[in-house]
Amino acid sequence: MSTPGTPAKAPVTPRLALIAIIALVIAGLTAVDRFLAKAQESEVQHLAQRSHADGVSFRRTGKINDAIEAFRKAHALEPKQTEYELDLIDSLIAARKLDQAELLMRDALDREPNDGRANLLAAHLMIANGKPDDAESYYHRAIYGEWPSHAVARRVSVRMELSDFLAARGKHEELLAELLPLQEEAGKDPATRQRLAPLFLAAGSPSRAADEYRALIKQNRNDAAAYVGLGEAELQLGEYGVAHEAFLAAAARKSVDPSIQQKLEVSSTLMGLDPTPRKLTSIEKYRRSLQIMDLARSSLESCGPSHPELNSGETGQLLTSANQMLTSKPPAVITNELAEDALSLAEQMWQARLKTCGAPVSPSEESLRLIMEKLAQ
Amino acid sequence: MLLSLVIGVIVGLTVVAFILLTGRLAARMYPPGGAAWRRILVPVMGTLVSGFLLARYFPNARGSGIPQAKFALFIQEGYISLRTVVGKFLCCSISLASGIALGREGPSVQIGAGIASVLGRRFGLTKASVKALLPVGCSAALAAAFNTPIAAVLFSLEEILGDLHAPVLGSVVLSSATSWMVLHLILGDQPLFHTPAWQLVNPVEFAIYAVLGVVGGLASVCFVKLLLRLRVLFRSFPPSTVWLQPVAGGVLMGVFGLFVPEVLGVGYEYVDHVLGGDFPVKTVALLAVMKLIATPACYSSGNAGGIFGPSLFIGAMIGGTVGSIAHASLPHLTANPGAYALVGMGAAFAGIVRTPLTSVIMIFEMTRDYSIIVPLMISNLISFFISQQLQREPIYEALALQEGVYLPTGESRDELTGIRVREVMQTSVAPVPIDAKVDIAKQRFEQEKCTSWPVGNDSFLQGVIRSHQIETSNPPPATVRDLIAGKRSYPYVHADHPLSYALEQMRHNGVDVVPVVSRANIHEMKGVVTLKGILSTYGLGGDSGLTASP
Repeated sequence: MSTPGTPAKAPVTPRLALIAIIALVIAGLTAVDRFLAKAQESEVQHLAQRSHADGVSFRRTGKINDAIEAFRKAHALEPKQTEYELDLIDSLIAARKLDQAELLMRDALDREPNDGRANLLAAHLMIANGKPDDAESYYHRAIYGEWPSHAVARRVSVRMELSDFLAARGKHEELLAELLPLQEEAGKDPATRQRLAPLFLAAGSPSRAADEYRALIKQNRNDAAAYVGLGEAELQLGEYGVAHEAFLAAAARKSVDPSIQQKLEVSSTLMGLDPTPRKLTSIEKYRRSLQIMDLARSSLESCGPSHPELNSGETGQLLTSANQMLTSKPPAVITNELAEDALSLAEQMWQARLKTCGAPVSPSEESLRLIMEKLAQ
Repeated sequence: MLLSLVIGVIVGLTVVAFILLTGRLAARMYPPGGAAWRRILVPVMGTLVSGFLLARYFPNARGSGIPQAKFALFIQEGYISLRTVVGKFLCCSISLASGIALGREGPSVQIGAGIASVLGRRFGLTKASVKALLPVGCSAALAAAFNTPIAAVLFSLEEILGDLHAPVLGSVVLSSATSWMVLHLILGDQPLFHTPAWQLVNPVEFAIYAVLGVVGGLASVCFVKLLLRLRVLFRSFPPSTVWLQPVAGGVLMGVFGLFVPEVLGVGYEYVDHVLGGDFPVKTVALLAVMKLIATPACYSSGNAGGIFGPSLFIGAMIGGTVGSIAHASLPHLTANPGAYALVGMGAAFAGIVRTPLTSVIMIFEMTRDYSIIVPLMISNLISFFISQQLQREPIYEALALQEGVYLPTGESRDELTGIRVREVMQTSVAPVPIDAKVDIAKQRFEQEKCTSWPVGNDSFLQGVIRSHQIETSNPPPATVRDLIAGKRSYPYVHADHPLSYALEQMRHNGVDVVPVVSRANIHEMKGVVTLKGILSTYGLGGDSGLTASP
């Protein structure tokens, strides 16, 4: 029997020759490995690119599940390609496969916490998951995140998307905070200005909106939409005459649009209702005030049938006073104070109407809303 | 230490070449958008070619590679030929690329152990030193094949050596780390699986992970039992069919692959898919069942390839199925099914391969997420326990047993300490011939001053007779054969067993002489160990009393 201490049966190669053979084997294996690895890498890259292109094409044609499969394949082949992973996440969100999207999203953000697109998709995922506050913070991370190419344009685009999101949520102050830097970043880009102007309106900053529309008109005198926007901004500002002129200019450029005609009517009505112009006589001011009060009373009464409590108590008294004022003979001497009383009564009825029935919905009440807003300023 | 480094580099480079070559070959055999007929023809042709090569040129390259590496370590004193290494590389590349449901990790282990053995011999090391290099090669191979260097070290110690405190620990760690670095230098920092970020949604999930452990354990037992039974079936066929037997696995894969292409190959791409959590539960359950059948069929028919990878695949599919059902039933209390697939991989591995520590560390290494440890331990240990209860013999030991090889099990390795049988055993002793008259046996008892003696012809051991058997038999037996007729088992020890084990065997079987047999063949008697000889070794008086037989 052999013992463990005896040399193993094998031809013992001389030490130097053995070292040379080992070095040769290592060099040869390294060369083979490198060659095979390179061949595999290029093949895998090619396959991944093809799958990704398929995914993009499927996505474009609305075949979302096929797109997911294709993007998943591309991601499995080239997991370090962030673009493939983010396209997969994007498609999963679109297909409402939120669990899977969340898993991948977590990995992507762990790996690249400052990636702009990853954070933007995280914002989309949060919106889909019903977490709008988290979405807002991801939007901000996306804005200040890293974008490999066209960083400025991408940031503007994300901020614009965030602005739309804030506008939809009715967060006016936050919206305005986003629009101001956006206005600076956008420069003279007309496409951005076209989107910025209505957002300024939504943010409750009609003067900035008017400036944007004017700038747009300066760039293109035939831009009917810009004239309409300007008209709306001026209506918000209470400059009904200017608004009317803007709507007229829009109608001249796009006469077939019925919505412009409607806006013209509103601005025309408001011009006839506005009791604030300086050179207005006391009689005319009183007449317009009564007209506003009548509109306010009608508006309050129109929501009365569904709210019987309006006919009693304080609101009932308001209606009674208004009716008395409207039916009684006008005083011999009409002063501005009388007009102010009528407007005060109109304002109280308007507040009661807002409190009871909410904001007006009928287009006919739009003029009243605008004039009341101007008077409240 | 320097040799461990060299082994790490060469094994790392070889295993990377093996992985890449297999991948390239598979890509050629199954091009994207390839025709369906390929899925039948390629496995059949692949198994036919590799079956012929295995039978004709590389008979030692058959099977997984892990039992073979253990066989070389414990029986052949660390010897693995260069031919076996080349054969394993070549045949596995062909068979694995053809899409059979076997893995590359087991073959890599044998290739790694083989390279270590060849290098050790070429450097003129002693047999003991060559033996000590085998686990070094194994860990280097596994680190490169599975991209988990710590699990590779543990696997070499836990499964191959069966000793977590082995003195070769330093060399094993060094070779594993070196090989892993080679892998990363060539292939970059690519994980084998892209695992999802694991999270525990609710403590209720611990109970579901326990259920997963039960399912994983039961599936493991089914897998092992089916594999062992099919292996017995294939071994019963005439030896002349050995070259053709692997085709049976190829045909089965072809049929399965025609209808469900995902079952082809080891299936790591689909595991990745399941870990992502997006899969139809029916497909995943079907794949688990198909792989549970396909892998035993491919392995038992004599193909070259391992069960390490398929066990992970089966685990992922079982985990995916359990996770999907749990998530559908309790969507707010459970995580994505991908997390269950991940834990399922460990559970099936622990149940099939029976290395609970390696299975936990392996999944932990893959995820690099500490929080997964507790659910992993729950599932793995339950699966391990069930598997141990329902299938006593671990798979690699059971496979070796079928080959007539008696590998020391984890438990028995603990006994390999203290004075060994080889230091006390008496050689040059002959058994009582099986056809001898009973009187001859009585004479031998008197001559040797003992009450029991081995029976057989020349060196072929057939049993052990005791003096009281002769006295109590009714009617009195004519020959020794009459005494041992119908007795299939007999006491024996191996030369590397400690004396305490020999004493235990004597006490348990009521004998004072135990034959010492080869680990490769228990009918090959190397000598005997006697009670007197053992007592004498401990200074308790008397010589062995043995005299050389004529």
